[in-house]
Amino acid sequence: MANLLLYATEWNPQLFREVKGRFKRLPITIAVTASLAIQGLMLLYFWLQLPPRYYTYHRYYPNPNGKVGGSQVLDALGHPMINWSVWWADIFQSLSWLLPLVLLTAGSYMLISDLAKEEKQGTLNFIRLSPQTSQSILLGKLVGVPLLPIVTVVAAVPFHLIAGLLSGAGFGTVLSIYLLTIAACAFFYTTALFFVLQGATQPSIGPILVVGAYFFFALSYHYSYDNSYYEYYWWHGQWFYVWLGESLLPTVGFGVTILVVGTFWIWQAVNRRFRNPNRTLISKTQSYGLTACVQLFLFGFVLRQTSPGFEHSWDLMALLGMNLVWFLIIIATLTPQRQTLLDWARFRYVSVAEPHYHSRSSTKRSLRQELLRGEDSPAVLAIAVNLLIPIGLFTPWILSWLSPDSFRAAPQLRAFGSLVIFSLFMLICAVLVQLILLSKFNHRGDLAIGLAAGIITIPPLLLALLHVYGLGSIASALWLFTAIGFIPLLAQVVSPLTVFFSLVGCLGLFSLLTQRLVYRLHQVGASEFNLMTADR
Amino acid sequence: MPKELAISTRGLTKQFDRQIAVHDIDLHVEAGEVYGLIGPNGAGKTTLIRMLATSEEPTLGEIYINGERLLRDQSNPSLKRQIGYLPDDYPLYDDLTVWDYLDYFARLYQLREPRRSQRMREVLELVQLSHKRHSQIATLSRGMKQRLSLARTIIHEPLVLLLDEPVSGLDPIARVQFREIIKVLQEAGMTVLISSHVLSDLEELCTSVGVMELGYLVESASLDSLFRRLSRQQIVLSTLGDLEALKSELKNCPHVEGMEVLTGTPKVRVHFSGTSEDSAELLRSLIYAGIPLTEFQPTQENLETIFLKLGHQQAS
Repeated sequence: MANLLLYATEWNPQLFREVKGRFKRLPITIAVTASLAIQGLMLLYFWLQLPPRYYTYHRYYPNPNGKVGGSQVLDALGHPMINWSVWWADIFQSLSWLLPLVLLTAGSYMLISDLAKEEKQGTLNFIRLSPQTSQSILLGKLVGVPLLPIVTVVAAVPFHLIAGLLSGAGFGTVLSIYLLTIAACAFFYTTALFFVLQGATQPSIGPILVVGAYFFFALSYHYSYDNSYYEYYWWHGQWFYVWLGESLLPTVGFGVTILVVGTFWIWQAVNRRFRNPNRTLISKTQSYGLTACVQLFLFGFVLRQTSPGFEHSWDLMALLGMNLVWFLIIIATLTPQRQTLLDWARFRYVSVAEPHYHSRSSTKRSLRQELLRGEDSPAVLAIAVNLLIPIGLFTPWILSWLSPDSFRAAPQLRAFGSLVIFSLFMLICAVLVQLILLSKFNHRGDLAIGLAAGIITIPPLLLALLHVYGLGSIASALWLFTAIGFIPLLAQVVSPLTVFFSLVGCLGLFSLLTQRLVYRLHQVGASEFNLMTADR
Repeated sequence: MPKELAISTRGLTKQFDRQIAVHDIDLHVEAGEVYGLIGPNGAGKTTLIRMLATSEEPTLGEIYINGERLLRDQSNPSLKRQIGYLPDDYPLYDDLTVWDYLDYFARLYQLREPRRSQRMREVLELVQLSHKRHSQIATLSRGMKQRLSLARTIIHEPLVLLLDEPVSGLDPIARVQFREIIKVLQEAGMTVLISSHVLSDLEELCTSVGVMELGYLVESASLDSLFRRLSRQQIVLSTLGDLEALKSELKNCPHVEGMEVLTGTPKVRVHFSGTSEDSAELLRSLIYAGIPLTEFQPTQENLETIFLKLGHQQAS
């Protein structure tokens, strides 16, 4: 054991430092004592919940059908018989909610507080300059900083195990709780680090987020007390034709997978930011993988058994609605800031117009490679590639839709039309945001957010207020130029000709804006170059 | 044969928005040198040092440490082990003891036992903090904290030491102690780049100096060549006899370029362009001429005078 600890501390110096700072007799004693005291209080509370003698019906009385609750039955000694497994199941369930809550709230609070303090003092910078990898340092922080809540919770594990065993909950159920807790800790702790590296300093964000997530789960929780007292699952539905919420394995598997994949991507961003705080959250190359993951996640919900005659267009509408939010996130994440873009524009200008001037490894890459994979280049092409991912994923599904009946004309064609018009709208947004971030306005970041929010919300609201509806009317074509242009298209309230002209219009607008962006980049590239070389 | 370059930059530039903090700098520091970086506040010294320490990303240009290209985005473990960086503010962990603090950084820099403990003892001895090894950092004086920071900076035996204003805010005794430590490190073969406002300290420590102004490196030369080029030799003479007789005798010497009488004293300061032999010859001629000399003291202009002569403004 000592050797193992020695090895762990040699392997991860950050973990060593955190453990050494926290593994002191007094705090550990307090943590363990508090844990034991709370366990005692819980046991006392549930003991007091046992029915008094005069109760004829109670939750803890045995039921001959194996359900929860029954009438009073006296044993040979004249005492009411208690269904102890239900009693233990209640303790088990309370602990199963409480233990992760303690770990997640206290842990995320401590992580944000610790890292924000180090960032503020400047000590984090020294650690950054050391030859340790960012993974090793962050992992040390993740495991070491929440040491006291971990000790508190681990001290309650035997009680939890006993409660699980005596309640009759299977080994799988108990194990699933530990698995989900570990996965949730990984997710929320990494998210806590993410917030700090994004500039957050208020440690209460962590617990607020955790409690918010708890409420979300608690509200959507489904207790199925009729069959058995320990089967309680969240949300019934299908994901890639698999029923979730029906049985343990797929439900826990789904939860753990989502948390692990989520942790993986946040970890990527945290690593990048830790190594270099000026970089975008994720690289262009990473964004393709991330978008593919998100699309697969969303797509899973529409791949389900449906009743005959089901309108798939509604599913596509929901998918595009979600993607509206997703691609705004992608635009915000990938679009580089003005200074980054100025540097890039200068390098491009130098490599194209003044190739003799400087040689830089990245300028040897072709423009296409730069735009697809480069760190500092404009993100429009990368966003376009990201937009191709849902198109590629949804196409086989759309083609598999049953042939249209006589009433609804060509739903597949309309589905593709909606994908194209949605993508064009997002691209227009991307170029606009990039143009604003390239401008010299003082608050260009806020302006870009405001403009993106404005062009998404204001036109549909305006059209709705003006009551611009109606099949085939020219005015209704205006809807196609809004963020939710795919809705009238899929709902078949605009004529094909209108759709065609709207597509041409969007394409025209997009190419105009792109030309403007290219011109501006060339312009600033040249002026930046001249500024740098003016004094030589 | 030219010495190997410990630090070399090519076209190093850093721009913050429209302001260029460091402008196209080609810095060359030979291995084993103590290179002093001087210049007024805002000249770009700290930005330059931060870029060399990978704490800041250059807008343009390349950095080579011992011939190897330094890139910020890569983890560069072997290169990072070659660099020790002490910023002008030196944040510490107040909750740790001196020993635990050094132990933590020794582990971060992958020092293994028994070398780790041995190195920690060596470093503590060098910075004269052995007696404080079990003290909490919060209880140390400013000078001790500064020396502990230096100990942290050199714990992994870096080849290149980057010190940004290391003596600012220290009292004279602490400054002397610090200077002594730097000399020991230089003797141990470390290359030291040090920025400071205290030119007398640099004059004593450095083998080369670079002058930065408005982001440019306007001067970079060995201290010897700088003195040869820019520091005039002076001789201070005093006599018991007539000052006019001394002055007329001095005028006969072709190497005397000018002289001034130091007010209130029977002393003359002579600007002398000759060699040591020439000054010996002057002394001999004055004695032959029967001038009752009580003082003949050849001196050189100091770094501060040279700095001002270069037309630069020292901020403090």
